[in-house]
Amino acid sequence: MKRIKRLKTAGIFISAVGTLLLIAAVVMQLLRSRGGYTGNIVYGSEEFETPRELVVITTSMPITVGYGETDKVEVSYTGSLPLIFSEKKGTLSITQDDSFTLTLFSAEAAKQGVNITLPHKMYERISLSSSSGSVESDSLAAGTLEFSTKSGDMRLYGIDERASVRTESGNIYAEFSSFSSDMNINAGAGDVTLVLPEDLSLYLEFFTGSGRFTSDYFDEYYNARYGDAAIIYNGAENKLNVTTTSGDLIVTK
Amino acid sequence: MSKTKVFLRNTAEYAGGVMIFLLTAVYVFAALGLFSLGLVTFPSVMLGRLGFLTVSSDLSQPALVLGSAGVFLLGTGMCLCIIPVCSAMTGAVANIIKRSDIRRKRILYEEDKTA
Repeated sequence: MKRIKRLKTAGIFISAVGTLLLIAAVVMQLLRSRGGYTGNIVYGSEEFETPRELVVITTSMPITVGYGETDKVEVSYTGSLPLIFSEKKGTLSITQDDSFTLTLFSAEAAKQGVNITLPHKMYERISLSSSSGSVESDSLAAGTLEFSTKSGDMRLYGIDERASVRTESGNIYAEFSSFSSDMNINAGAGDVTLVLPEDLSLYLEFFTGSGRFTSDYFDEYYNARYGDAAIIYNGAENKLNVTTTSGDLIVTK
Repeated sequence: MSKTKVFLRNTAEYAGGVMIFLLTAVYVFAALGLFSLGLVTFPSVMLGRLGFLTVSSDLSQPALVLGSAGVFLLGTGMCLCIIPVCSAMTGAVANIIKRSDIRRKRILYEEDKTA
């Protein structure tokens, strides 16, 4: 009984000290925040000369790339650490510093991401890759266009069949502006939604472990519960090969 | 005391017992949660201050140190009080059950006596 009483007294004392420290922290934060943001989340923006190639590699930061009315490459980002930029032989590389960071009590950290605005031009190569961040692109034109993620989702607008699209478990949403040759898409466990141009001459192959194929694109409503699918549509001039392990494929207009 | 009154009183006390039990459960979960949070944040913040780790936060550095220390101490203190709180809860609930039983027996006895 005496021990319990001692435990109680010690507990109450320590809790009281803890509460006082918490109150002090709140007061200190309120006083400091009068002067503006007090945290250490990085907000950066940079400008670069237009490169021939653009390579962006992040671990957790979502990437958004699109064209804009600008004559320089504009990069703005929010993150725990500054991004690493390098310009070599016409290649602009943007890399996320993947040093281990611990995020505590930060709503701003949830807004992390990198936005890149490019001048209108045909680039030699654009490569966007992220581990857990998402990748979003709008009507990019490049000789080689590569998109890859591990678990991040992709939203790709205005791409064509020359793009290389690869993910391990992220979902893919791709709207095609044109489709005039062959293409492979690898999506692992992620679902794939493809918006194809109308009246496309297509040979579609879908290889999957346990994914499902659904489409309202073709004349007949096509719905296979599980397993592979192959469709010849309108002459089969172009070939689209989609491979998933458990991801579904949805093809729509 | 009438049978209905005893029933109502017993039911109210049982409801009170359930409330005490729930409050104790909330207390225990809060104590364990705060303690774990403090156990992770406080050493991390200190390691960040020493330059071994990058800690990003919306809070200013002094507020982060004080806040994480506060959470750690509050959680520790609350965890130390878990046994006293639980024993007090057990005592209170046992008392409720005992009192209800006595009341029920008394009313049965009084009914027997009247018959």
